[in-house]
Amino acid sequence: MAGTQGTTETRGRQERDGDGLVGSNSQLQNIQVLIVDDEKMIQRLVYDVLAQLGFRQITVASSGRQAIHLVATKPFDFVITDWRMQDLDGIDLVEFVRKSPESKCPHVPVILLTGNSEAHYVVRARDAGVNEYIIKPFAAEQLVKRIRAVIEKPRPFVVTKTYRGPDRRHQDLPPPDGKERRKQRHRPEPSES
Amino acid sequence: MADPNETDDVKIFAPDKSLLIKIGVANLDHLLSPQVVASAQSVIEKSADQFLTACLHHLAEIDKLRAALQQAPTDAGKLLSALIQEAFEMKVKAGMGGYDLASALAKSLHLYCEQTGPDRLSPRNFEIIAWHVASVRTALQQRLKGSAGSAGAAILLELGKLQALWKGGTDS
Repeated sequence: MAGTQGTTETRGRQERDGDGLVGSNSQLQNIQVLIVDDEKMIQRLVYDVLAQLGFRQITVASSGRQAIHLVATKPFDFVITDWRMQDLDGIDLVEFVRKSPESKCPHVPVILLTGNSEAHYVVRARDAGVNEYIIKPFAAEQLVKRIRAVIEKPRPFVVTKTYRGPDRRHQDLPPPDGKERRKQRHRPEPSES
Repeated sequence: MADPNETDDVKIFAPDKSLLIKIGVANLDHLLSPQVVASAQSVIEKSADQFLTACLHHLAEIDKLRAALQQAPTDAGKLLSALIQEAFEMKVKAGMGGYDLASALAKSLHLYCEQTGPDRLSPRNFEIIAWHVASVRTALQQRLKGSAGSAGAAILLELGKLQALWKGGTDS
């Protein structure tokens, strides 16, 4: 992965065609992905997994600060970031992306990939405007599931005085039937998303 | 992004479909088929040896930090933070390599050190840290994958007893 730090690397067709799994016309090849992780091994692994899935436009940042520079420079289609980083952590990055006037992509889906597994971390991430949360160690299937969620089921984006990010209400509930809808009509409306 | 649906101080923007439009298909079943996902998983599995090597490095650092902490240094807080970070990284990397037992032990070490704090370190604390280090070393050197059968069960049983002691306040 030499030369990918903060730069976009486009993988050659030969390498992907060689394994016979993804065609050279993969529709994923134009999706701009930003990976942010200061741990080289994980950074490389995520890069290789994404490349194997068919993504080609992958930019890697080795620190939160480098990522801030990148999101202030160009738009991305989605971001995968670690939480714990030396200089500036993943939550600070998400807050910059969502709230800074310098951000080129305030609505970009953000997938947090972290070893922080306790519930209070998940709540903190959600309140910062993270779209999806993956706990390391992870399997490829989990990563794919979260990527598919941000692509196939994009959520409304909510802006309030205290929050900017994806709608935090549960998305996969079946539509209520008539009786349920009548019950809901009598419930107080949420003051915020 | 579509115009927001605005009420009072809340703006709600319609879901952004630009990614789907860019990809040009309504769902990704074909692009991210089970075979493609399996090939991506094999990338992770092929990295097991690299993760093992990295874990052994973290383990050596943890042992050094434990020895330094036992000298009752003035910067115990800094050293313990470094040890906690090493244990956290080891938990992730052992798990990524498929060494679930080592990952569970590293997680236990991480939580134990976080709960203990630098001001209350006693000889018993160091024993418990040393026990974790020795157990992780065994798990990694014997390349015990997954939950590691009866060997893993024996280690986890001992860990459970230790955790019961320190959670009961005897060793914290």
